[in-house]
Amino acid sequence: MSDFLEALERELVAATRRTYGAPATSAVPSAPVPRRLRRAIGAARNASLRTVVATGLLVGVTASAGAAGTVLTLRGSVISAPPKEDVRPEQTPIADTVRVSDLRAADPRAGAPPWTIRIAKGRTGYVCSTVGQVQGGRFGLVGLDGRFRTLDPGASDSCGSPAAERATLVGARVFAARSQRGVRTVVNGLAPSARSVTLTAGGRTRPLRLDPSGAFVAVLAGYPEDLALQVRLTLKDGRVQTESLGTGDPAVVVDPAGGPAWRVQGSMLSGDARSCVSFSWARTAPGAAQSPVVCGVLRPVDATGARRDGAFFAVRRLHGRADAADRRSYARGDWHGRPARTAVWGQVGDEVTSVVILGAPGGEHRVADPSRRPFLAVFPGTVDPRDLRVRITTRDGATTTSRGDTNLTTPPTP
Amino acid sequence: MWSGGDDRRSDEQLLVAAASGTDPEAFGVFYRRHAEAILAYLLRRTRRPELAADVCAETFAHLLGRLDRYDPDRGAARGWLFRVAQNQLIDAARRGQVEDRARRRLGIDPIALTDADVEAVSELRDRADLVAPLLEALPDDQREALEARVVQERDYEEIARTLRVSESVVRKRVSRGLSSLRAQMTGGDR
Repeated sequence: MSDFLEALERELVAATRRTYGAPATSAVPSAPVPRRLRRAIGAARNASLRTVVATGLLVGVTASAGAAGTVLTLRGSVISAPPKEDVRPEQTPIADTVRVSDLRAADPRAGAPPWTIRIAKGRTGYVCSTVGQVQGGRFGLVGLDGRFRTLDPGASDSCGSPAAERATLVGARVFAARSQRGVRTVVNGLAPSARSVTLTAGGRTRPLRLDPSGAFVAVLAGYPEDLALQVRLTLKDGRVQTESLGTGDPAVVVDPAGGPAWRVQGSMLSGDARSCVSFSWARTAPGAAQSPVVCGVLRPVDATGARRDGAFFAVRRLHGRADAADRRSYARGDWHGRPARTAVWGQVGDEVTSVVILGAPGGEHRVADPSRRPFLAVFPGTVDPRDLRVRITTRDGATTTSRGDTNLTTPPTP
Repeated sequence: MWSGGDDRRSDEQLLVAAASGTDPEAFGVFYRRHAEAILAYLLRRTRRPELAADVCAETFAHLLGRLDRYDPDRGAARGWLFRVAQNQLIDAARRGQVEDRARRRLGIDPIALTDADVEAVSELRDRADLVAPLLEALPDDQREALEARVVQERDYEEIARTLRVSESVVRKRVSRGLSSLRAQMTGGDR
């Protein structure tokens, strides 16, 4: 479903935690419980096992038969496989082919069970992989309640057609947590044809060990888009295969200082001719830095308004916290005291072929595929916005270069 | 399909778990279970994806802010949810803008709607459009009763209370409405 609905879900769950209290994370006192709910609540608390939901999401798989994110409802001691009728034959592992790799990737938290990969053959000849943790010789997962549960051999994350000429499965599986610190991204893959594998995360590159079957696994704290993950496989015939994970969305921009990634969004709040653009963390979270909303008008160039020309953008350093008056206006944003950043954000029309930001450290910064999309470039807060220039080139070859906020209008009241 | 997943708890159990603080994610499950239905309902009423999304967000926030007032004995949670959505819509029409008081009170940041979101929400209109013309063709009293019973899943007693008629009248309107729909779908006479 849409990002909006998913973002709203995260906001609502966070608000539930803040308002009604969650023993593990909330510092806010719980709201008083009305009498008419107490009986029902008592029954819920007396249930023998607390329900815990752990969410995993596969963000990248190559040459696979397709893979689904998994939502596991953990009630018992074993995480069962999904019902057979819900799983296609090519994604159903054959139980007696299941093998846990001897690879072990240490979790960033000391004392947490290490991570590994489980391989199996699928019923139609595909190869299937599942990531998990190992504790006491058992393969499973630690849930949000801190309990380790065994993963049923019939469960698999993804399956793919074995390929001799390239990696069969390469992906990153995200394990949600109650706090940002606990989020884990497990990069994993199966590449029997690879001679070596390296992983680049947060600008640092390191080699990964391959087991005899060509499996590899690495675990990192944080989300893939924050880490700008890249897996580079050198195959036995000398060819190189490179896979970028979590960086395919042009609306998501990596933070220059290794912080949470940013997502730029175009707003449709007014229903008038104005287009508005803002940005925030790619993953919505309470207290996320939120830029001001900047708006402008892109001129329709035909009767339908489907094609539009023009450009508007802001060039500013963002820092500090919103005061009470600012908090009442969604358009002013709230940086929530997060580390300062200098940013260029806005939108250009269909006739624009390139947007290049000049004067930033490291030379020219070219915005990827800016046409008719909200765009964003983020720099360290040490960059003075007055030093930045924005060069826009249109289809007819014309170039304009501007400094500072350009062509902005007043944001509408939603 | 976007839904509450494997969680087999009833809506009422989910709201109780969320309100008690034992399981904040339970409200997320409840939300996933009903968000699309609410959006489709609002879309049918407003014909505007961005407005439907805005009212949808305020509806769930309003419900969340009043969980401590929820009384399972007074009707199904889904019915309550639809009533809140309906009231939000009426308020928005009256004021000329969508309220965001519940979201502000809960500290929920504004979530902008992207083009992709608008497209995704608009897809729900296609589903709503299958039934909407048929419902629109019904007499007001039958459509109202049918929506309350079938779409909002409210019980007869509660609908009767809202519409200020007897339960048997509600049953009769629902029954007639269903017959009319059936006749329209099969091309028969009403």
